[in-house]
Amino acid sequence: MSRSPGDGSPGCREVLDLLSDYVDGELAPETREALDRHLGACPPCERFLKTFRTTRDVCRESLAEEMPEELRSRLRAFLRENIRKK
Amino acid sequence: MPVADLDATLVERIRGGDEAAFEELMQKYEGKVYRLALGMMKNREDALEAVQDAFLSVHQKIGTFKGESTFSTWLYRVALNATYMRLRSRARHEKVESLDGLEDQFVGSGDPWATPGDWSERADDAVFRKEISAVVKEAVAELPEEYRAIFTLRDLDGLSNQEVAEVLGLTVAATKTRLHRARLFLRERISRHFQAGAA
Repeated sequence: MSRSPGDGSPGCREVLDLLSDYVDGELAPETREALDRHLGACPPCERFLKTFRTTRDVCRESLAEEMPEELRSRLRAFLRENIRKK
Repeated sequence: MPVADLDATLVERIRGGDEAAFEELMQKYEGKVYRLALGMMKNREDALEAVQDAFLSVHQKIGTFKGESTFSTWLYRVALNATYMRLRSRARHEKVESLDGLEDQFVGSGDPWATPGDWSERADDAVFRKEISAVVKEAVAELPEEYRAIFTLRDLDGLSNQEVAEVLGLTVAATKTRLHRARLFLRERISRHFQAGAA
């Protein structure tokens, strides 16, 4: 299934293919405007975009962990020991 | 001074035997390398071992860095190799389903947009965030290694597509395609979780 407005604007499949470039801000202005028009007129694609964008945000929050101080200390101890052995 | 020049200065000092310079280098990059390793290895202990291997390799091989890429690209490549070695030594290099053609799953049959509505509206909810964290970790672990590396470097460590492509020896186009598939896969896994919960 791929909805297309039939006016030369991108259909749903084209929108899907371009979503990463869209959220990364890497589309040419005219392509971005065409996607904006489609998204404004296609609620399913708009919902898809929202969950696609939120996926990146929740992944960052879930995985972007700072290195614990205890591990930093162990890393230094390991390197001191092993570099000395060289 | 530009970052690349600062790194070049540090590299020269390390080559000259300046251990304080190596310490500076670690302070600058250990958090980034740890994030990459954690994204690849799933748990902290395994990630630490990969980070240890990575910095030991950097110290041993820094004389081979020729400056053909930026130092950070070279370091990420060394770090990624260290994580691959650790994954293999733990027999976790399992065959994972290909993500080729993933986009077709969304448009080939049925209604791809009939996934469980707009769960993004719940993203600010603390309970949702906690629940989703476990789902995300499982889903990332399911990604094929190369896709996981691309996703981690790009979306967690914040490298550009060009930088990720250089680290992995891929074209920018291939990097972007795989990143897109990884994001679609992760979105699908999270959506499926909520779909199951709603059923």
